[in-house]
Amino acid sequence: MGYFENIVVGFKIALQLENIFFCFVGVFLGNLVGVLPGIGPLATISLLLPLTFHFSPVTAVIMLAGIYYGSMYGGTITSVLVNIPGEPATIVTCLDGYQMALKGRAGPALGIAAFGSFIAGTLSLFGLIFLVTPLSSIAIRFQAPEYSALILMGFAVLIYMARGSKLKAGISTVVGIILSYGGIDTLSGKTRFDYGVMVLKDGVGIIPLAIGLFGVSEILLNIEKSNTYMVIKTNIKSLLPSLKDWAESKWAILRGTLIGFLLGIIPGGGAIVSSFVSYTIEKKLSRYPERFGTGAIEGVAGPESANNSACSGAFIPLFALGIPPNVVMSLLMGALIIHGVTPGPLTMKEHPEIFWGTVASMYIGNFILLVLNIPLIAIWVRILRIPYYILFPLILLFCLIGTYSINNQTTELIVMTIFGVVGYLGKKFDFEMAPLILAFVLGPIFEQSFRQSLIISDGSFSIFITRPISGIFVVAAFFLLLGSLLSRFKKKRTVLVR
Amino acid sequence: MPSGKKDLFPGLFILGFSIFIASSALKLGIGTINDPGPGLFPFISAVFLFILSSSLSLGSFKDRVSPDVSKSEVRYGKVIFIIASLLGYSLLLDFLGFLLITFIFMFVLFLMGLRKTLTSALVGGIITTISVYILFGLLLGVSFPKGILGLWIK
Repeated sequence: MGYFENIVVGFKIALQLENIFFCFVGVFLGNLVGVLPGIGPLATISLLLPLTFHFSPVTAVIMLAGIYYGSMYGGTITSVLVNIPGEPATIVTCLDGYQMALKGRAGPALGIAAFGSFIAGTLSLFGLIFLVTPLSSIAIRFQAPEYSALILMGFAVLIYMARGSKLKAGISTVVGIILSYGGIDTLSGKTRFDYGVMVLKDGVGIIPLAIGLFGVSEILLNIEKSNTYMVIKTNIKSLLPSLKDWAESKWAILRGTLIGFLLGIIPGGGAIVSSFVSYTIEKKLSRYPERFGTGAIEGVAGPESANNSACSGAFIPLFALGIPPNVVMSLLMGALIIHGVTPGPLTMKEHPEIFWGTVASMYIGNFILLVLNIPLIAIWVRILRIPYYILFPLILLFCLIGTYSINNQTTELIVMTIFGVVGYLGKKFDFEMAPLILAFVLGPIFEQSFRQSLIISDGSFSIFITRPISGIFVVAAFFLLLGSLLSRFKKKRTVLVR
Repeated sequence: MPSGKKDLFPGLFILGFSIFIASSALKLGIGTINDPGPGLFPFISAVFLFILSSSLSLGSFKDRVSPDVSKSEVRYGKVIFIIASLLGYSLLLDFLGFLLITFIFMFVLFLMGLRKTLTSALVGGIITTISVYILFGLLLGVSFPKGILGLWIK
C-alpha cells in the first residue's frame, strides 16, 4: 500500500466512534493534567495504562498518545497565567509568556501557542508519515549488535542531554538498568533478584515504578512546600494573535517545528530539550534579542511549536526501531507489549492499523485541542484555581487504584510507595528520574541483544565495531560520554576559578 | 544546584547498593564472556555504579560550594504522614475492603488539607469513595476487595 492508501486506512480507524471518543478523552485529560501543576502526562499515562487493557491496542495508543501531546497544550496555560510551568516542556514559555500576560497580552500568548502547536503538530505528522516507512525497512536489517549499540548510544544521549549533573544522570541510568534485571532471565531461565519476595518473582513492574517515581513523588514534593501559586488576574479578551504577532512568529513556528521534530527522534532528546533549543535559537537569530524575557511573542511561539513537534517525532524510533526515545514513549511501548504487540520494524507490516490509526488520530486530536484551547480557555483558567488540598488526595487515590488494578495485589501498592519515596529523595538530591525509567525499559532489550551478540561472536567485543551501523553508534556513544565527562571537568574548573 | 556535601549521603547509599547488587550477581553466576551467565550484566552494571557513586561521594568532599539551603518552609511532617497513609492503605486494603479504607484515606487526607472543617472532610470522603467506586468498580470493572464489609455487602 502507498502512503495515500495508508493515510485513508488510518483515518478510517481514527474516525471510528470509539476511537474519536478515546482520542477526545486522551487530549482532554492531557490538557487537564498539563494545566494542573504537580501531575504530568507520565503519571496520568501510568494511571490509565491498566484501564486500557480492556481496549484494542490501537484505541489504547490513541488515548495514551492524546494525553502526551494534549499535556503540551495545557502546560502553556499555567506557564502564561501563573508563571509556573504546568509541564517541564513549557518552562521556557514562562519567560516571555508570563511577561506578555503581565502586559495584558495573555490572549495572544495563549493563542499563538495553541496555533503554533497545531501547525507544528500537523507539519510534524507529515515528517512522521514519510520517515517511518524507509527507516523501518532499514531497521529490519538490524541484528543484536546493532540493537545493543543503538541502545548504548541512547544511554549516552540520556546522560549527555541531562539538565543537571551528568554524573547523577549516569547513576540514574545504571540504577534503572539494574532494576530491570529483576525477574526471570530469558536466556538462562533463572529468577534474579527476587530475594524470596513473591511480588519480585516477575521483577519490578513498570506501573508501580512509574506511578511511584512520577506520581507519588511529585505529590510529596509539592506537599512539603508551604507556598501556593496565584493565577494572574487578566482579562483574556481575544486569543487571536494580530497580523503583527503572526509576522513576528511565523518563522519561529517553522523553526520550532523542525527543531522539535529532529530532537524528538533522538533518544534522550524530546519535548523539554527541544523547547530550550528553540528558545536559544530564536534569541540568537532575533534582531532584537533584548526583547526576549520581556514579552517577545517569538519566545512563546518557537518553544511551544517545538515541544509539540517533538511529540510526533518521538513516535519514529518507537515504531521504526522498537526503541522508545523518551519516558512517555517507553510507557506507550509497555502498553503495546501488554496488548501483545512488540513495537519494531515489523510493526508497520504486521500491525499497520496501529501506526496509521495513531497518526490520523493525532491530527484529529490536534484539531480537538485547538477547539478546547481557543474558545474554551475560560474553563481551564477556572480549573487552575482548584485548590491543591482538594487535588492531591484525589491524585493519590488514582495512583493507588491505577497500581492495584493491574494485578489486584496490595504488595504492588507497597512497591509503588517505596518508589514514591525513592523518587522524592532522588529529586531532593537532584537526581533525574527520566533516565532511570527509560533505562529500566531499555535495559532488558540491551542485555538480551548484548549477550546474543557475544554468543554470536564467541565472546569477541569487536563485533560491535566491525559491523558498520553498530560501529557508528558505538563511536557516537563514546564521543557523547566523553563530552559529558569533559563538561563535568569544565564545570568543576569554572567553580574552582570562581 | 550546587552540590556541596549534600551528595555524600546519596553517594554512600548508592555505593552500598552497588556492593549489594555485585554480591547478589556473583551468587547468580557470571559465566564466561562467550557464554555470559545471568549474573554477568548485573555484575558489570554494579561495578559501573560503584565507580559512579564513588566519584559522587568523593566529589562531595572536594566541592567547596556550600549546599543550597532553601529558605522556604519545608513540611516534612506532612510528607511522612502521606507516606504512612499510603502504607496504611496498602496494608489494610484487603482486610478493611476498598470502600472502608478508601473513605478513611480520603477523609484523613482531606482533613489534613482542609485543617479545621471536619464536616467538609467527611462529606468529601463519602462523595469521593462512592464516585470512585462507581467509576472504577462498576463502570470499568476493576475488582476491589470487599474486606470486612463483605460480610454484609454481597
